[in-house]
Amino acid sequence: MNRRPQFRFIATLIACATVPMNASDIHFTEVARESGVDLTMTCGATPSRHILDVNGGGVATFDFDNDGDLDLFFANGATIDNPEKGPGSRLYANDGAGKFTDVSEKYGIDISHWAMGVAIGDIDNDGFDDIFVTCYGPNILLKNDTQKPGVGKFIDISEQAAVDDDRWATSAAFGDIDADGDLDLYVVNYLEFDPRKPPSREGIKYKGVSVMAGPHGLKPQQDILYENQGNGTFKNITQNTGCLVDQPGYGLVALMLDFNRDGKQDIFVGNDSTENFLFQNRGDNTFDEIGQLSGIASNMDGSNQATMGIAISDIDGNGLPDSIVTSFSSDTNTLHLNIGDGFFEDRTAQFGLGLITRPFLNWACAFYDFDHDGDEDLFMSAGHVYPEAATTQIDSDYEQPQLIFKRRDSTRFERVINAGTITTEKIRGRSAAFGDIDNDGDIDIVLTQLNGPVKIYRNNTANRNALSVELRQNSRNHRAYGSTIELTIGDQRKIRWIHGGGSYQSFTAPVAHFGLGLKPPKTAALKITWPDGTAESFENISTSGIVTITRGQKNVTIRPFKK
Amino acid sequence: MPIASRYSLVLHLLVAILVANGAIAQEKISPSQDKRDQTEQTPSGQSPPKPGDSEKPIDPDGSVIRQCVQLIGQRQFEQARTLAQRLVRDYPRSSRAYLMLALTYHKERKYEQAEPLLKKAVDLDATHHPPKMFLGWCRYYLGKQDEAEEAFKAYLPTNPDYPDIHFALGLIAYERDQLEEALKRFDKAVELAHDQRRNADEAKSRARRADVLIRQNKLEQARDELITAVRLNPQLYGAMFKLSRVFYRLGDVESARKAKQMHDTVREKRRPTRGHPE
Repeated sequence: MNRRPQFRFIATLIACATVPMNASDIHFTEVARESGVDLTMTCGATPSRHILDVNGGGVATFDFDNDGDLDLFFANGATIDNPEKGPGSRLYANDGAGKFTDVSEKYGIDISHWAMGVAIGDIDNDGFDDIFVTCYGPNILLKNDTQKPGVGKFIDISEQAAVDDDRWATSAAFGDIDADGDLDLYVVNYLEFDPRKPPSREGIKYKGVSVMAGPHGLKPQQDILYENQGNGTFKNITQNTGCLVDQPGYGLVALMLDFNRDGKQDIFVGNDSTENFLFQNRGDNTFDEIGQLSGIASNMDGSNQATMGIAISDIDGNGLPDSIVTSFSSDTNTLHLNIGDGFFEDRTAQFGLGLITRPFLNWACAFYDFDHDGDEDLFMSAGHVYPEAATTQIDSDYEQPQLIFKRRDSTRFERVINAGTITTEKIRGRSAAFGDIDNDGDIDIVLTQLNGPVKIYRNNTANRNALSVELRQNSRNHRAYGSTIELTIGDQRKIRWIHGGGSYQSFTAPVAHFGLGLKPPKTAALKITWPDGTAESFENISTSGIVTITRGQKNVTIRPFKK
Repeated sequence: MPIASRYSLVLHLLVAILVANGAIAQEKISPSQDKRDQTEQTPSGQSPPKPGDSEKPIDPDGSVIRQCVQLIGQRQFEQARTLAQRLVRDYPRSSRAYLMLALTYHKERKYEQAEPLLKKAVDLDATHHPPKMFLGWCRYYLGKQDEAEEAFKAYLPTNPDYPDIHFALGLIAYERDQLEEALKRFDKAVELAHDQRRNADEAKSRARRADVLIRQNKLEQARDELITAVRLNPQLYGAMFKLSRVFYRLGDVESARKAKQMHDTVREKRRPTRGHPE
């Protein structure tokens, strides 16, 4: 080797080591087909004719067989002509390296009527995650007996569990609202729609363009809160708990979380075109609806928005969960900071998430540290509901690139436009679930489209410094929904919440993920606040790999990421 | 349509006629109509800049423009567009003809279509200033913050005493979290609107000034600003909502409830719930 190439090589190494991370550090590659997921989602006609046609289907990342990797479930729809007979929802098993096999038939997944969304929770505390599917038509609860000797399948227990309500449900969320150790269920309902008498498009216009009817003018439906009876059945307790509202919203999403950190799980419901609800848990199995009072029901001007999705993160570092809700085009999404004392303030503009999102209609969303630089970035799926949508007609296209915002500094997010096809290809994005599907330490994205192929975006971040944390409780709420995980690393403290619901019609595996920057210390400390408020601390946790913490056990297990 | 809105629209359109005719080249029309910004504009008394004299007057008796404006008022945008397109065809070098056509899109909130027409209007006659302001708002509503600012700043020297231009620049500064700059702009907008007795303009600028104060956690000042805003413009329901939020945070639950109730009543009158999602 002569001296010049050697010098170049060394210079390149030095440059790589010193170049600060920037927006281009977030990059994804679309790998659905090569991962074995060749699935086209169905939801009504193409082009969409009615409001029932536009929601798309949901997706879940979860480990149904407890083999340590994330499997996938897709809630697939049908068509108005034949709402009982669609192509069917699908379950895919992960081989541990991000390669999937369709195991729907093997494990008894036989849902052909119109599925919308999915929630995951271990309803019987047997240590295996069960599947709840929201539907246009009776909802479905699939008990996970796949590892049970002599069964080996998911068993449909919807009717016996009394959760087979047949209104149009969109999303659902599990959480332990009464702190009795089992998972209760909130089901979000949308509106009344009779396919035999679909609402007329006559005279319905948006920006002068003739479009489909709804949701205004159609009758919104009450949501349902179910209490887990601990015996495999659920009881509808909506009426007695304060969750039956005078004016129901057009519900699209819910998230269960302790927003005021009083140790009780609250319920945040995102409604389309009507005000959002925040049901604050009083601790006696009753709730106060404080959406308006708290300021989270609408944007700063009091406008009810077309909320589609919800994501949470501690944006301002005050230890309280802040939220973003996605919304319609020609409006902005809204970021509410949780400022304490039960109040939220619209700080969308402050963080650079206002005007820039106006051309997009956003749905699913999540905050994750996609580039491992130490702060959480933001993903929002995008795609319009109106097939007539075109920039030249209504300032927004029918098919849209997906949105990624990188956290630039303590006060701003910045849109990333060069993260691969995820941010350039125009598609009809809808639901999304997240997780490290190839176990390499970073967060990948699984995205459904409206009547289009599923996309799996593999994260290519070069920085491998990350820590994932999973929680376990034996015999009760085994994934520990409602827990808080605080990581202290160097002089920084980061917080994550384990919760049910969020995103849009989807479920994301309850794994806390921390990006650790370029040169993290070798160890960190973790403080776990379990759902009942009990706290446990763990020192000298190695800062790489997947940490599993089981309640009451001082020894944690750490699995290394795959290379 | 509520009477107040109709009255406001008539005023805007009346001014639009004059602007498009070249009788005045002043920005008396309110181009800001975003749902987040309740903007009420009334003609001011300040002296307008002179229109560019490079252009022949279009539509000498004003009949085409009057008809066009009427159609826009009746939300018959397609028909209005047909007339405006005729103007553009007949006067292809006329900035005012392009402005008229752009307005048929702008009033329908089709900013993507209005934008190139306004750009064309600006390019055709740099001394015809109103299109610059409309161009700024179009870009603002399209999420093009930097380009909106550029258009607003191009307009600013031509009419520095126009409150709405400072209001617009204040909004952009607020979006960028440049709070001191935003405060400065809203202060100027308030001062100008007050001097010109433009109550609605003063009210909306005070309401946005209150946003900055809330961000700065100066809740009492924000409350006072919002009370003044609502007094100046009892139709400004957005300010009533903010006032209710501030009252809640200050612990005055009763006043908060009243403000919210007022908001709900006025809002329903002014913007009754319509189709999805308008």
